[in-house]
Amino acid sequence: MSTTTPVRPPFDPELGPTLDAIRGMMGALDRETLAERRTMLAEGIPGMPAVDLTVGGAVLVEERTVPGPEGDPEITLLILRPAAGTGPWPAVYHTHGGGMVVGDRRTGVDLFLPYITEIGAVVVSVEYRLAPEHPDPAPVEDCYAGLVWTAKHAEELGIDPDRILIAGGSAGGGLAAGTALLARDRGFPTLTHQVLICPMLDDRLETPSSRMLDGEGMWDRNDNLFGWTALLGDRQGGGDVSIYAAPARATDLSGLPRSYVDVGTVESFRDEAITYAQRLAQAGVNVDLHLWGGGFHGSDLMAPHAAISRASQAARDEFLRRALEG
Amino acid sequence: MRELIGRLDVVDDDAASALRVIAHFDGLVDERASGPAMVRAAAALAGCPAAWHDSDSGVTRRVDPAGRPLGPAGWQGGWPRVTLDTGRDGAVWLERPDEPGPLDRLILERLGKALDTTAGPRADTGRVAHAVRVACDPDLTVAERRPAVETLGLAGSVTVWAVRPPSVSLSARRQAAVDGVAVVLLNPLDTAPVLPPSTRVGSALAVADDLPRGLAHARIALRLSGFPAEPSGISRYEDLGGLASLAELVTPAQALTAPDVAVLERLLPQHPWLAETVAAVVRHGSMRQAAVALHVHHSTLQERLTWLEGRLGFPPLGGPGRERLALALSLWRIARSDAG
Repeated sequence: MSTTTPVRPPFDPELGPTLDAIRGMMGALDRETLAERRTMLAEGIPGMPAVDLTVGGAVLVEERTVPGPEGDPEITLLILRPAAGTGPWPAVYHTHGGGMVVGDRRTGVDLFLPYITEIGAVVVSVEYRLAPEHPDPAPVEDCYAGLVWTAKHAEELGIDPDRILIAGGSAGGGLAAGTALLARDRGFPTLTHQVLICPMLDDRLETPSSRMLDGEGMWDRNDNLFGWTALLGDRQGGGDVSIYAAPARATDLSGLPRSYVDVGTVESFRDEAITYAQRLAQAGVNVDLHLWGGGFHGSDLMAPHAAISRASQAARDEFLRRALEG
Repeated sequence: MRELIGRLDVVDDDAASALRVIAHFDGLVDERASGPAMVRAAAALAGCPAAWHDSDSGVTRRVDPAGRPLGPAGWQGGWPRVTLDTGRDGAVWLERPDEPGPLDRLILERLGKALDTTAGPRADTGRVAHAVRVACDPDLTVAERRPAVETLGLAGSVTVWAVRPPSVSLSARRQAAVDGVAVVLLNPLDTAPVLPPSTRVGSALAVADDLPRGLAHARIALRLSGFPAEPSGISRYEDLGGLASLAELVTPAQALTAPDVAVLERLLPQHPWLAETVAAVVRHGSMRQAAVALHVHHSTLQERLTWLEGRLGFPPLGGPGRERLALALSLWRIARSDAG
């Protein structure tokens, strides 16, 4: 194994100052800082107003406790529906991000609010058990259990069961891919699309991109190792990891739904995301792959005003609208 | 991931926020981010629309805090604004209708500084054009013009060009559009730029300390080069001789009142060959040479001159007639010279 750090492309000029500001606020993620990071995520940034999930009354917000995997605790689903109309609507089943170790059902869900109010869609966001307290297979099995419940209760929720897509970012992207594989292999439910936003797919950490960031960018190789180790313990990088935990390890990608993959060129996840998209296509699955030059992990959320962010948001938005409008 | 984001826009008027604004623009300058990128950052930091009007291009760019481009619109009184006048000409402002944000002034100053600092080759042209205008400005003193002259690297003898049309783009470093002409300043070592077709140039020698005079002379040469038709090429003030003095003393309207000029002017529409013929007769030593220059048979020329003698009332060739015709031509050129 090479010991030199692979070279990385430069960050987009507009993103630099935002990256500096955020790294200034947040250090490395490890066991010591984990609790603090979870609190930061749950409480939000001081002075920053919480997102109004009701969108001024246009969205009905509901939380349901539903059965988890067999023999495991119940899980909570956040369900967001249009206040007006009766459906049936298409649904976004959302698996949140946070490196497998932080975040909750509300994390990142606001990205999908416009589809509820503008197109008419239902968003279901699952709160899965987090590592390291709950290692693999807990997170992905919780995600799958929530998806099954949603599909079985589609009518009740105003959802068209034939129009459910799965979407997630970062660890949520990996979980979306893993859940899609479970849905395929267990025969239920059928998903129309999988939207994998800078997804976390591969615990083996062998690619150049997984080694190129050390103390730079967001979610560098140290954070990445911490996340995968929290999820897999000693199994990380070894021979005993399932394809549902690390979808990049799947050898057969046929039969998966219409896919969207995006990633920045200056991300740890770059190479595995590109490879996954290529292998989907080689397996006969249609995929949109967007590689954003100069983007870092989550940059279009953290610096939405930058031209590169507007471009990546627009591409993703256009795909989601197409997917939801059938 | 949203909750992991630090709030980009500034809410507090404190040292940490000020440092964040400064660091943000310093970072963009270090990365040589584009002008529009800087405006996007200003809008995001301020949490309201930001705009940049660039005088060189005449373009106004406005964006909202999400980086979305907005249609062009002008500055409205009351909004905080900073003028640019170093690397670029123009202004930047924030569209803040009510309470000013805590660090609006700092954001605008840093935006302006960042734009000035990263001004590229286009803005170099802006700076040079500005220096050309100052160096040729007759309303400024020698002392006031000198820094611009030095910036342009001019000393001693300078050739001043006045060029039409003013929108022409020449491969000359020191050029600017000034009052309807393109002005080009050349030092003795410069290669004269190649002229596109249909470009007319009035050229004059000048001294670096008195470029306004040189430009005035170049303008005269340009004015007089239009008639008889010399569609392109360079007319030199130094070749005009007395005609230049005459042009400074007599206005086109006055020249038109001279009796011979009035006759020629009246005859021209029905006889388009008239101006070239008069010019050839005045300029060439013999009728034969004049006919060759006009590409007509000498008997054709003879017919024309006979006819002209009838109209003017004097024989155009030989002796006093030649002098009178030459003077008529000079006054006619002044009568028909371009304005300014």
